[in-house]
Amino acid sequence: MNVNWRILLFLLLSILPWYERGYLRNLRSRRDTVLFVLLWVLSLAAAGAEWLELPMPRPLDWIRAASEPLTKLLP
Amino acid sequence: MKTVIVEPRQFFIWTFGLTVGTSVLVIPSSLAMTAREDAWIAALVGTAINLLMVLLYVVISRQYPGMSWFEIMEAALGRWLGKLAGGFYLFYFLILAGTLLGNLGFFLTSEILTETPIEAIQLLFLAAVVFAARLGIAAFARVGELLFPWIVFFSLSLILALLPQTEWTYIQPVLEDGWGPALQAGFHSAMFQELVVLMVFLPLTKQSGQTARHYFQAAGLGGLLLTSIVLLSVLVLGIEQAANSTFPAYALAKTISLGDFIQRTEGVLIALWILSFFVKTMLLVFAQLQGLQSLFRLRSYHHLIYPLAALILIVAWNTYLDSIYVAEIIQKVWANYSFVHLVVFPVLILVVGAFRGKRRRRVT
Repeated sequence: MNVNWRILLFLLLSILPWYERGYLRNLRSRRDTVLFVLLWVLSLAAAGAEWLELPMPRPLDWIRAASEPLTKLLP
Repeated sequence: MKTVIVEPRQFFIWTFGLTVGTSVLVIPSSLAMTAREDAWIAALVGTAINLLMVLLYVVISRQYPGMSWFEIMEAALGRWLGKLAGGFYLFYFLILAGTLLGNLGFFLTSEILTETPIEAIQLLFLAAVVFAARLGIAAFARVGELLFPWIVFFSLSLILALLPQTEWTYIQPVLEDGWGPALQAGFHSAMFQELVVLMVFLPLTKQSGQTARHYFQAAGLGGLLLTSIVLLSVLVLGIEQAANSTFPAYALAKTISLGDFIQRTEGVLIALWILSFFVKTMLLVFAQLQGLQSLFRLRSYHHLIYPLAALILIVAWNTYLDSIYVAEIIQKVWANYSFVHLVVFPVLILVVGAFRGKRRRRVT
């Protein structure tokens, strides 16, 4: 059986707020909750894009583009 | 955030793991490709550069006592510029952790578990990382103490078992093309140990003087282990096989045969690599969590572990696409990108710190 790991990751991430809700409630910190939601949305969006096989910019390509000027300077 | 106390010896183990983790498997081939017979000299040059970087980090930590790397950047560059620089480091650590995870999956699926899906291996390893992260830094520091004797035992076994097979003519002539290739390869290899990560944990340690000494000693000792593996790769495999094999240290371990009795001991190398790799990945994950907590002034970081782990996994899926793509990035791009984080930013912070200290002394 072939497992679709992308769907598995997406589903696991989907239930994460439910899993962490008690901990976040006990923390009583809006700042902590906001950052958690932001990070969760980012990871869920990335996992969804992976699942749907949407074209995504590859991190090492960003680095290549950002380091281009330095690469010309250094040996 | 700073209540966790790490013993100097635990910090020593972290530094050693960070120096050796992953590098032991991939560095020999890139050094042999550039420096050829002088790969071992290049490894020594890389160790010397690493020690200079550690000196730089220790001087900075004395300028800003009791502060983590993210706090130092805010203190030196100002609140917003410091946070921006901290964001660059978070991104650097994320990409590094993802690339390491990709590397682990690629190695295991290409050499050992060829029928196993790469995602399964990465998820399993990440589950161990998440579990350890949930238990906290103090528990991880104690795990390091349990793993370290095994790392030393496996390293020594590997080196001793390979000694009878060495062929010293393989490293001759010495410095035939001058110092240029050795220095270039040494600079490249020094950019793969990322010792700046430990600056995040320096304020968590007791007895800063002793910790600084351990920082040096472990970086030096890790460098010497890497040099030994590089030297043995060339002495046993010969320059062509060492340069052209993706994982020469693994090929090296496969050649061990003592009296036709002790054979196929590559598992020793895999164990050594995975243990040090675990230490390195954990340090990167904790550095990101500590960084997020420091930059956003959070009360805790425990709730960020799962989404961060998911991001690391997605980065791993998008970085290690194939060995040619990654080899090209490592050869042409990564060292310079790392150089900015390992040398350029720290030197900038050192200069700003020295300037501010001078101005403060003049005012008082």
